[in-house]
Amino acid sequence: MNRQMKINIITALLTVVVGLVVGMIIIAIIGSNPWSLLNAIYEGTFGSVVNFGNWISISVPLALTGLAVAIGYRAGLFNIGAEGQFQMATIASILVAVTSPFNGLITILLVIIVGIIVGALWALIPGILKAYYKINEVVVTIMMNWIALYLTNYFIVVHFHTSTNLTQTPIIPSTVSLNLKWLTNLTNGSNINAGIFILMLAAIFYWYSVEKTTFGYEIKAVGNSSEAAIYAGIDSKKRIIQTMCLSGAFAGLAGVVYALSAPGYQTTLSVFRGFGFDGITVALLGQLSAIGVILSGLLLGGLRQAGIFMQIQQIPKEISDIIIGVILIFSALSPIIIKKIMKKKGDANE
Amino acid sequence: MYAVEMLNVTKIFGHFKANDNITLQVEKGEIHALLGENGAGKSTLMNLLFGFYSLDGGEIKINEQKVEITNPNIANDLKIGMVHQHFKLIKPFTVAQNITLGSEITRNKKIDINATNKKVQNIIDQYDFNLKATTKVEDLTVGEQQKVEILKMLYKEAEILIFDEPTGALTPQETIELLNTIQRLQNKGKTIILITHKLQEIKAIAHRCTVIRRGKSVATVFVNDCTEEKLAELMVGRAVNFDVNKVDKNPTKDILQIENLTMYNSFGSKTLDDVTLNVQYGEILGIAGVDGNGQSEIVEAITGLQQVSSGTINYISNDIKHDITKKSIREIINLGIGHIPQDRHKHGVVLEFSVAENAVLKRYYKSPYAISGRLNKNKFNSYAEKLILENDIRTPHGVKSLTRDLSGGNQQKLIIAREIAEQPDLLIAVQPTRGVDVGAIENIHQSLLKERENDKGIILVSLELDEIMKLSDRIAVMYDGRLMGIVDAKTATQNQIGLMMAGGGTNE
Repeated sequence: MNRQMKINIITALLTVVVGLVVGMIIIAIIGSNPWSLLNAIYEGTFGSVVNFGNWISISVPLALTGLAVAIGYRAGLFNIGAEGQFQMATIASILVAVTSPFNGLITILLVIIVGIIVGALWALIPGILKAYYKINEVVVTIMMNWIALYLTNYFIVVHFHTSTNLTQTPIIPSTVSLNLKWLTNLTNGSNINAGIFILMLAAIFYWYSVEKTTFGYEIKAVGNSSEAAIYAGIDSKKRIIQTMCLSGAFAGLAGVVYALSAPGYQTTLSVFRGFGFDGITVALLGQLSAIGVILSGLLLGGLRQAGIFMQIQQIPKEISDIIIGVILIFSALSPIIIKKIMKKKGDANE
Repeated sequence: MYAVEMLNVTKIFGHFKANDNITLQVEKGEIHALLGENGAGKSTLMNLLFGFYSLDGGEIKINEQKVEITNPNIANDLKIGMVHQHFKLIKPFTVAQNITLGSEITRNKKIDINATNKKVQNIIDQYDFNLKATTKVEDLTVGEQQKVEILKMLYKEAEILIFDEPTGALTPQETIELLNTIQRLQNKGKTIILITHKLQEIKAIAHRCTVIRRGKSVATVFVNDCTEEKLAELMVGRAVNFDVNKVDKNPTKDILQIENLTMYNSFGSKTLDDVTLNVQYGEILGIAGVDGNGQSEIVEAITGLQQVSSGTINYISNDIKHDITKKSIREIINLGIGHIPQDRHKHGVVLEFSVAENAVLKRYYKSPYAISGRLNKNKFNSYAEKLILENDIRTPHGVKSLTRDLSGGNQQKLIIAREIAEQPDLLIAVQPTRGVDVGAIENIHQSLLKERENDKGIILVSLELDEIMKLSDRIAVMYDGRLMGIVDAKTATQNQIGLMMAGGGTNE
């Protein structure tokens, strides 16, 4: 087991290195200094206290969508729809935050509950279709992402915009923001907020349910061999739907954190914000473990931060996306590579 | 003169010697049996002969010429052919199309179907195969499909024919026919290597037999000079007890009553047709039949894995009748029905789980393994440790080993140990000894008989007629989804059951 873990960590690190090297090569090709990538990553993360705070802040929703994808993966479900679940939860959160008659703290709790439920409900549909009609969840969740995107655009433009700007929601009241004064002051006014505590609770919840409960045992059985799970008397249909909803709930929670962070409003979108999609990379790179997901969430947050600082140096920030893409490909391949390595070593050990 | 000589052949995977200095010499025109347990190295040896693996030591001679077989095409050119255990046929194609596949007869770059049919029919007639070149393979029986496989080799003019466990899927009658065919091929001058673990077949047709044990060739014997017991001893490395001790039992009480059970598959065709049978406390009911004649459907109906279309299944425990057709799988398990499934990889274990996790597959949610949803993995481990100790299950690193890393035989032992430890009143064992070596078979048979002795009901589904006849009290024979009859195991003959398995004569 220990050896397996070592190999897992080494492959994850190698994956990141390969991603960074590819990014540097591309920067070199477009005629800039490849080392500026590493410089930008450093600037965006540890470069200053403010940057550090912003880095943590952007990483939190990424890690949460990472948990969303990871829990699905445990049950053999590929939730590509974290993006849509995130999107629906974000708009619902802002709506509740803006219209709630209650005071700050109660509203925040209400937003969290609503966001989780909306995310879960958006995942319920592909869950039911998968469990009862064997319709591939990948296809359904992709479709549902687009529905979420245009539904929220429609909602903003037609029903939920400011008096001056048709494409922007009202701003949430500052009393429902997740900002904590002491954290803001500590980081010279960065965006860091109570989201990190939400992430920690979510990560503990994830670890506990997957590793310590019968529910976790059952979804892993379903994910690895649904036939054996059924044979053992596990209600695999129910577990598939529950896992899908739980996955949506994590994505919804990411939406809540995003909505209640700066800037505190949402605009109509022509492309996805990518939090759900990056969640796939986060989950796979983190090898589905709670700690791994948090670490790779921080890494992807760091790359997003680096994008900002590359732009300052006239390097397109999309390089970050390329790196994330390369990391995703190699993370997806890594189980195969690991198996090959283990096999070779296994042969040699026998 | 030797047709095939594999001299001091060695094949090493890592530090594991799959073949260790094996010598196999097959005379031209003889039927040479290759006998060995699962994992003894038979397949590796044949894969070397076919060029799938490269030699780590030794040499291969074909017709006394040293050869380097580095890929299967070379084996083909040397006129070596093989009938695999699992047929490699394209079902919607005709016999002739399947046989000529890969070396089609063409005219103007188009397949000449008439010439193909004619040529294939010639070969069929030449070997008395009683087939039509134009029949589609999907319309053939398993035995006939095997003939197509044999014809594929003959079409390629193979002189050295290898049969890999050829009788596994055949009825007794088909087996006899196949053995006759093999003898006929030998009479026409072909050299034959027969890979098998069935001693009767070796006794019936082979001239000499090479026995392989743990990667080494232990002996080459003349079959006529050797008893079955002697062959088994050579194969396993110790004396094997073929007889089973069956205590006399007079079962009177039913544990299971199946009435008018009918099932359909997802395409709407009938898979079980009005089956009525009962199982009693303290008996082993064998279900015989060629694979795919409704045995799995009966099992899946009882265990709840498949929805019943019509009919009833009553399970009687403590004098209470439970209709289990509407119950969930877990309810059925908890009523006391255990199940050793046919496909251990698909149903029996989660391969990515540890041995401990698989040991508790049916009790992980019960106290003390879980208390209000919280798992206690220490209890998993101690329970599994007990199971592997008591049942001699060999694991690479104890109960934390991945189940995938266990050998097939040990995986099967784990499943059987788990199911029996659940103390079911009705145990359904489907092919419990498939892919398990002779020594372990003995133990599995003993376990089943012990359950019988303890007054449990047992359903034994097996494709090995010997196994069924040896262990069962009564034998139900299935053909085409129908129950052809139930016979008394004490008085039934192989022949009678074989006929019923083929849809003929019932027990009058």
